[in-house]
Amino acid sequence: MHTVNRAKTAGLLMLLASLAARPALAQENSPLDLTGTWRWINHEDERDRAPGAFPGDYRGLPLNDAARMRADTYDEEVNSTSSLLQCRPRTPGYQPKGLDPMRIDKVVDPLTRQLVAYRISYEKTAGERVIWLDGRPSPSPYALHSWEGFSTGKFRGDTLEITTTHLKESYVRRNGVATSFRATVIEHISLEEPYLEVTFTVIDPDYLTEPLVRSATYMRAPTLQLPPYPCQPEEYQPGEKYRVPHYLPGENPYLTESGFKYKAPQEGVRGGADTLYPEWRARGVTLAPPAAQSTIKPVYTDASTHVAEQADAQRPPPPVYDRVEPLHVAGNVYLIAGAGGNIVLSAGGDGVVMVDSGAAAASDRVLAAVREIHQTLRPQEVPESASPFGNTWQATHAFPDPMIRMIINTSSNPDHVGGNANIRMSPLFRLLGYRDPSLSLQVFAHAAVQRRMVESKAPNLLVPTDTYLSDTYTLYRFFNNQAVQVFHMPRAITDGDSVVWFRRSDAIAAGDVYNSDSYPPIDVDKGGSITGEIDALNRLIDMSVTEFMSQGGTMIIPGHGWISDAADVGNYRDMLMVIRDRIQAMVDKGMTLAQVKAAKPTMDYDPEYGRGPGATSRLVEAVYRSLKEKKK
Amino acid sequence: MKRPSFALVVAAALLSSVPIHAHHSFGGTYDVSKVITIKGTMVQVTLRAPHSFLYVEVEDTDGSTKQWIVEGATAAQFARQGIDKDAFKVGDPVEVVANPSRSPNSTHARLIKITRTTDGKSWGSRTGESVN
Repeated sequence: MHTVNRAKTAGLLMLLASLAARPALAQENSPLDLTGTWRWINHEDERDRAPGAFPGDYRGLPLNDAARMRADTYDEEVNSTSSLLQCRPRTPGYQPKGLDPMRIDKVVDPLTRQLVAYRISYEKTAGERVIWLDGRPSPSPYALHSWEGFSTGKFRGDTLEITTTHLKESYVRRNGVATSFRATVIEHISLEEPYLEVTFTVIDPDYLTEPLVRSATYMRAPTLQLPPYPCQPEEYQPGEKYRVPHYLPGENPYLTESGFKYKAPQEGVRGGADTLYPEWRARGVTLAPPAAQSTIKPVYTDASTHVAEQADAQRPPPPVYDRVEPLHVAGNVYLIAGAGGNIVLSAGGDGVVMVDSGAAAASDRVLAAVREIHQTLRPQEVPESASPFGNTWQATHAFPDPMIRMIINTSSNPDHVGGNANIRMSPLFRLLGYRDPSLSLQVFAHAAVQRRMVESKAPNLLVPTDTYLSDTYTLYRFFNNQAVQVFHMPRAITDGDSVVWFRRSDAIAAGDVYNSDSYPPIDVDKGGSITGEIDALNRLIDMSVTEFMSQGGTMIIPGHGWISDAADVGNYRDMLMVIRDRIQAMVDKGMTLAQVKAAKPTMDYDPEYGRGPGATSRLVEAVYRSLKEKKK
Repeated sequence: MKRPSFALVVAAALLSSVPIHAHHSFGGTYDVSKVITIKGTMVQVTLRAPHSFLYVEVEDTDGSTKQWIVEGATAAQFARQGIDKDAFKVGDPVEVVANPSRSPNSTHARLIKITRTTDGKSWGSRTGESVN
């Protein structure tokens, strides 16, 4: 019996031991499992999903007059003529209206085994969209914008709420109703097996007066496999590479097409928040639809049409440089933002080449940022050096302090050259080339920059010491293991603009030729022109290669704003070409500058680019003058 | 002879009327209320994503030639319907039924149906049409 009892006891102990050895139940941090493949269900918004809305059909959109004008003058053919738009993916503000199946995967921390993100792929997107669930903060406002944006998610009960920022400019309807690069998209995803419901809300301070809330339904499709999507942009008609089809204001013949075909009152077709509420229906039923398709001359009057005046009425805020911020761009190229104009630098074993120096008052913070880049942001595993010789010698010698080897100025604009003197006087400024520092490249720019600064009696230490006159200038040797090339952009902002291309890192410092969130400060008195500006943007685009589907690849750092790629520059170029054409038409009619300004030819773009005091007025005047002078 | 089931007929009709997967808006780019016919010679076939292009050279009455650029489905969708690089070739005499561009004087059009006139091989997107 004792034997039996002992056996029982041993068995009980073994059972207890095995129970004790079982891991604690994993903490559930995901109340629903979204993973799997999902097929779209085409049961609503048929025109959005398949053929595309008719021009001028803004029903159901709480858009403002700026958005309305922009869409009224939009020609869908631009999506064919522009190779940067042909393969443009949808942003989350429109994607659920597309006909794309999607796949959702989990990203699990290998150590904690906790869900840290969802990855979402659609058939026609460049890559995987990541929804971070780990509470990470939003990237810098100077970080790259993308078609997918930056998304964070949190569960609210059984619903996943996703917030997406850092989006590229896009659309909420495929007839030109734009969304700004300032838009935020909030998605709510819930599961009712086998259906997945997405409610997506676009909040756009530039083009919508209220959040735009829409929904879509997907159905689980376990055997569905997303096909590859080798989207190949082409110049589909030779000679049309730089053509941007659009209608001049008041000349689009299709704006009543939708109302006529659907027998809907034009006031409702024109959209706007009022038309979305039940109260409007009482008014809507009293209105007659268009009797025929005809060209209308819309009038734009709401608050969005006064952005420029409101900006002009503001007193320019005093410059503040308390948030100078270093960011990695690509390879060994970095951005120092918040110091006036953007500063771009290549940092590595050979030291630092700095493109522009920011505002004078920010120099201490700029030098601190250079130190920070040198100490923390520099990739430790890849010593960047000029050549095999450098790899074996320079790269193995640690520098106690970063050495700024030269400054390249992209223009003479004060917020780009203001720090020249302070940087040159800094102990970090250690020249390369000759024993006699006076012989070495110190501050380099196009000759016109030096000439203008001398003429304006700028302090000596601000003035470039070395110049070039040619179309292209290549530094005498590789620096940080890459060629550094300077390109003259004649008659763009001024007559002395340069862009700097760090070849191996594939990053271009564009200076004020391209400002991602403001109009270019074209200065006709200093030799700038709208034609030269557009030529410069086209050249920037031609120098660039996108990685896939109009995104990534060559990084273009603007004079002001966030790190960009060719698609952003393409949007900016298109905007300026439209404005140029409108003002050209006014010049051709013999309108005076005052008349052109009163006609507000930039009104639909002002919410995005004209928020700086005087920015819109300066642009209109510069375009008008450069076109008038060209005509002479 | 066995008649096809009702369900099969409905399914076939649904499949043949599935809209071309639009990336940009066909309705915005082309005037879908108008139909034109283009007769000419195929000079280039570009099957690709997001949309394919057929380039057709048309001889005018004065002897000059004009190139029409006819936009159609994505390469994958054409392939699913039996159209590959060998279906229509450079040099083929073709008749194209298409929606014209909304832009005046444009020689761009949206493909509705294409027929090789030498042997009648055709592809069409309207209900009841497919590869023939």
